[in-house]
Amino acid sequence: MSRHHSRVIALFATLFLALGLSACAAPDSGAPSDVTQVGGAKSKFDGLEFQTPHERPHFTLTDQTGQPYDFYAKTEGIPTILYFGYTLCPDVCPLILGSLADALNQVKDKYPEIQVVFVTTDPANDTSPVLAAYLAHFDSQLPVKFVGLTGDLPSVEAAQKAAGVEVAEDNGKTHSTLATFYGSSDVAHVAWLADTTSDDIVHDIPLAAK
Amino acid sequence: MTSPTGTTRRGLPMRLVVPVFAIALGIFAFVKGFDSPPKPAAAPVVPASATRAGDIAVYGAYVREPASPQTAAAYLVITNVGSKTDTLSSVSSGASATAMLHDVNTSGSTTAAPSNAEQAEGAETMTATPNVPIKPGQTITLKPGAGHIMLEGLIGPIVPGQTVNLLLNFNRAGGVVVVAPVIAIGATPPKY
Repeated sequence: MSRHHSRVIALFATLFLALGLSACAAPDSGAPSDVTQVGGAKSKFDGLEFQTPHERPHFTLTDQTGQPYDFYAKTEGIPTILYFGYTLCPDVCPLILGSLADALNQVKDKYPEIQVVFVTTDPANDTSPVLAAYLAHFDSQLPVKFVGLTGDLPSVEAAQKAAGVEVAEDNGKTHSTLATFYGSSDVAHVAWLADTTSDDIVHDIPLAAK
Repeated sequence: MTSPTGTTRRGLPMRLVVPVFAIALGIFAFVKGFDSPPKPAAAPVVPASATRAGDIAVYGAYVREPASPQTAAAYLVITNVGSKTDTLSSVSSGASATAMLHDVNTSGSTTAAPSNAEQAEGAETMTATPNVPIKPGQTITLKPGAGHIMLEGLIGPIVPGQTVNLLLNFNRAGGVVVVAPVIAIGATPPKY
């Protein structure tokens, strides 16, 4: 093969490559733009990976039946999803609780023990009966019913501090939307945001249940 | 570099190189379907199902079945297909005592960028956005985490299969009545 010939072929190759690449759109990661993969693009989780794993927090509040609920003692060793929100939240709270319920429904044969704990950021409105009625909209298909916790404002704020989330403001209306997943080893490596889909949650559960 | 005859030893004449390139480019252009850049002045495309009033088109509306007996949220997409800015100045609904726009991202980007570290960490806020200007050609998408119409003081239960009427008032286009289907708590929003 002559040098001209190879030069022609090289030019062709370059041309094809350049055009071929320009014809191809940038790959869409499929991740919502506002879900930052703290672990970087290489994170194995679809949700938000904690750079430093969070330990299962200690706090005691009142559950939806009116009984005291020591979060650590009740959930120790059990894969647990902890979320802070309020029942009058029109937007992200029903969305994420719905996604969680949908995901848990899909994995209930393999992970029937997963516990969801919802802590109100608006205790003035969200009494035990209000929480009970609210959560019943989500957990009817699930082997383990959701737990709803309330208490006085300092107690619910202390729970948020213990869990390491932003403490809610404006009567609980500005609140963290992290649903943190503590595995059976009592540490959390991942949290899900409101726009994390149930498919993402199903993907992450086996990776973080221990 | 070139031989005195102007041909390579294997016989591809150098004078053919340029035509061959031209043909290759032609084939590419054909295959790519003359992928010209979009004209910025082109009118935005809205679905045929959109509700129109003047230069405003509203579509993709839905209400998620609420878990609270008191509040629900409606979502929709608004496109201004005209050449003048219009403003969404109020919303109301027959399903609730009050309706209010919250957290609408009016920057024109399709996704709400977290405005601070708190939001990047997933904080939710509830800020009223009473006036939403919509520039010519702009599309405003209300979606979870990026704006909603909050329905407060629900008049009765809102369950899947029902529809909720929403009245949107625009300064130029006037009133637009949008019929929003109610979807189940875990359901995905309707496609448009």
